[in-house]
Amino acid sequence: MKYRRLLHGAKFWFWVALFFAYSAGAVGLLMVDTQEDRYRLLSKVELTRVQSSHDMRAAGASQVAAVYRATSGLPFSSMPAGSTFQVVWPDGSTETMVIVDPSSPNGVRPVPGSQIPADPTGTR
Amino acid sequence: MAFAPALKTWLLVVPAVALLGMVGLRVGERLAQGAGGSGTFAASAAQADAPMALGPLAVMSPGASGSNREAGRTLPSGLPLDLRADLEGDTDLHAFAQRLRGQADAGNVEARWVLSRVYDYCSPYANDAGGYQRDSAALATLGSAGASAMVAARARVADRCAGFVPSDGLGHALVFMQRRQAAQGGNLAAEASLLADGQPLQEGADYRRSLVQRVRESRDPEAFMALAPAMGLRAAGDQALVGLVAGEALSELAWRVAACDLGMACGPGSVLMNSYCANGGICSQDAGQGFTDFVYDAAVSRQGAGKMTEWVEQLTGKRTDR
Repeated sequence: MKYRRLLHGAKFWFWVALFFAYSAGAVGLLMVDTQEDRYRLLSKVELTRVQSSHDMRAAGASQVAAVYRATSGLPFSSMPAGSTFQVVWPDGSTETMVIVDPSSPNGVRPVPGSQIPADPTGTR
Repeated sequence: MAFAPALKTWLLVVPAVALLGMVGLRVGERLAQGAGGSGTFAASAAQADAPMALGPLAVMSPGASGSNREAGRTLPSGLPLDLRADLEGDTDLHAFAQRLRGQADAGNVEARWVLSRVYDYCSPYANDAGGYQRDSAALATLGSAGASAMVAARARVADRCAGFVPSDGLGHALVFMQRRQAAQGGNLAAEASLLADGQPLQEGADYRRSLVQRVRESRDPEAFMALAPAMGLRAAGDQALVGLVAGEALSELAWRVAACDLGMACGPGSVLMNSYCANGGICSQDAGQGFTDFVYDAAVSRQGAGKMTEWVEQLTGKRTDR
């Protein structure tokens, strides 16, 4: 009886811990889906994926960040230098980008090792 | 008795003769210089190279010494004295870059730094002018005030960068190469930009701290501006930069505002405001607003303004009246 009560408590705290861990992760990393209308037709975004060249992905991410800021209402505090965001390319592949200099067209860089190719069975 | 008047006469005559002699010598030197021909030209040509080794402030400062101004006037390329100022306005940047490249290849590190700024500014247009125009058209359909301002800023970039083509190869690799060469040649702004780029000229905490201190002591506005991105959130937790206005999002802006205070072009039509809007989507809703006012208006809360001003004062060493 005592064992079952202990197991029940462990399950409860497991789900509480999982919820807080997920929330913290979601708050800490901004995700931008380029399927949104404001991004998907941009020239450096529409055909870009994690297998594209480094320069193409950086240019696409720079466009995404600029449009995000321009439409945010809080341009200075959105994606400042040093912040990161996760971009979801039109094919569903994702990677993390870091803002180096928001005033430069070459001011966004892919974070090495963060690339996740699209699921070949995906429905996007 | 006959000796006394003779002494008085000598006391008058000797200084007069000495004075005439000195005047004669100066006139003789002037005449010799005027007749010097090719020998004098060679000396002037040697002087013309002087600003290349003197660094940015020597070339740009209106308060530079007389000899530096003399040397600047003899620059053979048709470049203006203040390369940084010529980046502003409605300059044809393609033609400007060609002139800068000639000077940079001759060893002028200031010209190379400004050239890197032109390449950075023009790269998105140069690599795909058609795509750039299509993106502007797509942005125009979004309808928000920020997007509309961005479209106008991009039109200005397109106007100024017309002439560049994809085969010019403008992009991060070329910009970085120019800045590295300029930094190795002694240009402080270029050296600061390498730290901001995450690829400093040297590794190590001592180097980072010493570079930031050198930038502060230089009071070179472009070095302040180039260093700024490294002093924001990216500096958080870096023990080397403790106490140097670093580690917070607003500290980056403090360095930029300090650059404006020190003389950087930060007005409503400046390259800085244009770049922030066209490249970063950070556009002022007030077309007549310069960078400093924009920061205090849109980035700093009313209660945080005091801290911001304190940081800027700390960086510039003077009171900022607002």
